[in-house]
Amino acid sequence: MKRNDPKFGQLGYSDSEILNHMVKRGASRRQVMGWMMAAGATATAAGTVFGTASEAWANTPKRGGKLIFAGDQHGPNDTLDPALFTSAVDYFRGRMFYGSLTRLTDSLGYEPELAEEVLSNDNATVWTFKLRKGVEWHDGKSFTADDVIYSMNRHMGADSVSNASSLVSMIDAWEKVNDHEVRAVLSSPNADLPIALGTFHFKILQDGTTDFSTAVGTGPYRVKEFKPGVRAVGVPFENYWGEGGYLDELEHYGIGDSVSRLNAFLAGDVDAMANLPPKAIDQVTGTAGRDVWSLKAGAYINIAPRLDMGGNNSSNAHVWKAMQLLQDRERLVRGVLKGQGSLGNDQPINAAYFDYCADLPQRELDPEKAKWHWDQTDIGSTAVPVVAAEVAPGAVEQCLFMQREAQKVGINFDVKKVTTDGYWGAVWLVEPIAVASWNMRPTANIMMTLAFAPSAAWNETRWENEQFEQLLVEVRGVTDPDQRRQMYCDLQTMIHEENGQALPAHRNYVDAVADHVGGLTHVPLNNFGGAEAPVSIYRKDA
Amino acid sequence: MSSTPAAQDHFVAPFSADVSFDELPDAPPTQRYRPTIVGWIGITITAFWVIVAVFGPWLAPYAENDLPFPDAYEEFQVPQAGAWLGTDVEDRDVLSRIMFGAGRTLGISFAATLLAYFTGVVLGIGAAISGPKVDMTLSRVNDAFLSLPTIMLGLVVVAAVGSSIPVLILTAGLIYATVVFRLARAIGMEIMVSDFVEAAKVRGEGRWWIITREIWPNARMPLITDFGLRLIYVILFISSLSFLGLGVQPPQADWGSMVRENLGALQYGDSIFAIVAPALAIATLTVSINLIVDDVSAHGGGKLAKRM
Amino acid sequence: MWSLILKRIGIGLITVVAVSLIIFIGTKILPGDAAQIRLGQNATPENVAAFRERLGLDQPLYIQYLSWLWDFVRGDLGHSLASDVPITNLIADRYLNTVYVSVLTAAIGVPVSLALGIMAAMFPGSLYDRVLTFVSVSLVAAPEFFTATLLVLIFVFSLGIGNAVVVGSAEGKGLFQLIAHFALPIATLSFVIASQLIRMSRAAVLNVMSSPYIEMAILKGVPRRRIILRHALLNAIGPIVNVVALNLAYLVTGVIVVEVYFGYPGLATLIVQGVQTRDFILIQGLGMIFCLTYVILMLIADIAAFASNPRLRHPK
Repeated sequence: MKRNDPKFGQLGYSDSEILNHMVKRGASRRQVMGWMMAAGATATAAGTVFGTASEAWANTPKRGGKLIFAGDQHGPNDTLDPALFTSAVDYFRGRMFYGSLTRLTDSLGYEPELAEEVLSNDNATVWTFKLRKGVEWHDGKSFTADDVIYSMNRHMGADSVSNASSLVSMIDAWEKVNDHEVRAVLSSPNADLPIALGTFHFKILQDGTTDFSTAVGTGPYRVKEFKPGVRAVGVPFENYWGEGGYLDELEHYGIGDSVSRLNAFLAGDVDAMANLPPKAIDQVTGTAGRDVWSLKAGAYINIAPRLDMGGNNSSNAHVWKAMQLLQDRERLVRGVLKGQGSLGNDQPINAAYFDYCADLPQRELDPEKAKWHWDQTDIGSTAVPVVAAEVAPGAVEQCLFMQREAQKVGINFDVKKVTTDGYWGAVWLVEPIAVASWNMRPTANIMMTLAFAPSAAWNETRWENEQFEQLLVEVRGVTDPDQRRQMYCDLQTMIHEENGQALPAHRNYVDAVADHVGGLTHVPLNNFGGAEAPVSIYRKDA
Repeated sequence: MSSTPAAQDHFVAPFSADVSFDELPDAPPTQRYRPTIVGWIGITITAFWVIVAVFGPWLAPYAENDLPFPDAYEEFQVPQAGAWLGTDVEDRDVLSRIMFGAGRTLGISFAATLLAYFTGVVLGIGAAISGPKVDMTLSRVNDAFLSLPTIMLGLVVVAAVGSSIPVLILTAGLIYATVVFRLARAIGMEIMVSDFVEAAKVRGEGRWWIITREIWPNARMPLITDFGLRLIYVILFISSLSFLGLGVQPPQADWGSMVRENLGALQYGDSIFAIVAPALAIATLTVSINLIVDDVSAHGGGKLAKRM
Repeated sequence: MWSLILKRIGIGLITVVAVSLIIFIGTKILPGDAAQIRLGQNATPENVAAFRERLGLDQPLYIQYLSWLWDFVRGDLGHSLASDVPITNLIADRYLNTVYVSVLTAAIGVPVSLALGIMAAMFPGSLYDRVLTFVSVSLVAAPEFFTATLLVLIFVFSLGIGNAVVVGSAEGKGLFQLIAHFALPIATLSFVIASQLIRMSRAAVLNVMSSPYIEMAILKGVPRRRIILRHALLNAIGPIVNVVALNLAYLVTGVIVVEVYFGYPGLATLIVQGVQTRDFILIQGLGMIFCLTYVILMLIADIAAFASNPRLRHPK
């Protein structure tokens, strides 16, 4: 440890492991403090650290009991193939049954999981992962590098069906160094690779797995029952390598209808529910034994126009500006999301991201100015179609509010609401103006790469800005904090000024959970604590 | 109920008429229909809603998507000055939306039921009086559609062409046409084999004469009474589509979708008018139509049973 | 009579084949296809093309249909396009829910409704009759999700009995446990079918009551109750069975709103999900099952009608 006062949460991983071990074994205060002071900590700091560690030990999870978690939509296309995970339901099960190389923390850093140590060369083009030894699969076999190579290769190559292949597209090859070490060789630097590998799709499978009717993983639970569209049930894996899997049984399924889900939760039929309708927050907090589980996140909704459609007309820029100026952001955040979100500023990075630029002025509702922009075009009062679907809370409302404000100044939008099924395949990226909903990504760079880089498959606006892409790639290698801050500010400003999409609100992940559930996680990437909850949840009344 | 086809086949009794065909004379009873008190109640309520449907958009205090209290950021507010029935899930005025919704709900279901009737009766009677080949083809195709769940059919159509009002009318109309077809065909068949039609054929009367002079006068009573019920099922069908997100689209108001989008009021709203008002509207409309239907059919026959 | 029944069966089979064709055409005209939807937001055109080939969607339409039909006739329902799971597995996971709910609703709701309706026919115009008619009409007026919500509010939240959604699995439960497990869906559906059954049975019995031979019985002085139970009911069976059969078909195929509302997966939800994922193998297989269910139920209704009314055995 360095010669500055350590805080419990900031201890290096191996240090905190030692500390926990000491505390559990009953080391006295004097012994622990002695150890820490020998390493250079002051007495006060060491005392505080000891206090916190003991407290954490007292809140240790109890074993036993059963919990039922109710997610959102499920269906026959629920899958146990990590490469094909598409929904929160899949992600939750992924964490129940599988493990990954790294695990993401609440602050969107990473922790070692199946990879004990993660090292890179100086310019982040070669990453080495030293694998944990002694890890067992659910079927008793041992975890080795072959499993990692097999799992990772499924995301590579042009014919990969993986949903996350773009996150690792800069990897040229995965190499096995020995049975417990692998190496990834990249074609361009990526300092965030370990973080990307902690996301949902990069779960490790046994070498050669092709049958996903069940899951053989290294996760804290084993599959007791898996019926897609019905339920998944896990029972604890006795030989789990880590701390976790405290319940006797963990059941997870989906209740698609939000009213039913809320009823089930309030009636006590399920112990946790995903996507609490924000308007019901007061009711949940007012009910004994029930709480809201919300995570400040950078997830957002937007209305994205295809910049390459409708003629490459410079007057189109006025249309996009008008749409941005007609966004009723306050009403979305305060009225629809009930404060569980933040005002969007027409670019994807909000305060939940580390690289958030606070200097950007907030765009506001300004129908008069919108009208001025509209008058620069020749559209007049002809209705402009916008396609919407209920892909997230507020996704349809953002269009309806825009329509309402527009009508006041004589601008007409025709909001066509379509069903959510098939939306992503047939409507998004196809229609000239359509809504979208985005989950938060671990880093601003990943987020912007996925959605705004000219070469990205998900560049919904088809924005061609080479300067943006250059800057985006360049900043990945920058270590000087001031320079980095400036570059990220530039990137966000570019999107805010030039991209044209209307991004009126960011939303938190808002779930609800019963009081007797402990061990909640808070990784702001998805529902149920970033879908990390299965490892640590337990029943307080077990 | 919303997705149940109600059909007859071979049997004498159509839905709620107390009339037996063995009892029908050559010419149907021609007394004018005089409503009883029950009938009058039905007529009054129905007329009320029809007036609201027609004049609602002019009389409503707000436009259907307007906010009475733009700075409040609330929902399900209690009835107060400025919003006599309170506000709904998006803080819009419930009363205005009921009034706009009346036109839409009544308009769509009426148009759809008319379409169902027109198609079903024409094809059904047509099948009854035509030769076995035509009858067989039409009946088989009809049965094929009847055996499929109505919601699924609605879903397929909406997924294919989007959910606009004309699409809803066509979808509901054609789906329920299958039921009406069966009914009309059954009635038509019964009449065709009765003695007076045999006599007419022997006399050499043409098809058209048989249709207008024998079939229609005898068939119209059960068909008309069925119309009222069909209307109700169409209203419920469209509200079930709304439950699945496929019916009338926001921000347009329609009673069925209003019940759906305001379900949360029962759990966490300050006021439940947002859901009670449209549900009551649907209920009063359907009950009043039924009262009329029952009254008319009671007038039509079955006097012996009444005397018991 | 047997020839009639055989003819009915033949017609039923033709209907089933016609249905399969209609369903196939219906799914093919929908925008988007299973490969696109399954790969989701992410897919590049190459991904989708590769997946489409894997699912066999690149073959000419008539080959897709015929190969499916051939498999179906041999009992192989194929694999879901959305998840590669065998269709029979998907159905096996869910059919019990549907069967339990429909059978229990039928067992509870049908006799009660019929009894109420027949009693109303026994005292036409009385207060009981009027109240019952009014109540049953109001029941029709409520959309299923509204009835369901009211029942949940009354029983679960006010009285504290029952569950707001169906919890856990129905496997291994005895009869009374099953009724408790599915209590609210059964109650909701019973209300939904009650209105139709009450009205129908009342109308059918009343209709029969106006026939000449009943008039004869009245004149002979036979007591009303005996007339209804001994004479009228038998002739009213035809229409009653017909409506019961239709309602049973609805209970199997049309109860999606109740399934969604109470959060239990059944066959109706499965077919809707099939449409949503453009999984035409699933839709075809399940559609055929629905059609067969309908055909069988109508066949039973027809047989009951023939048995009770000899006149119908000789169509003109």
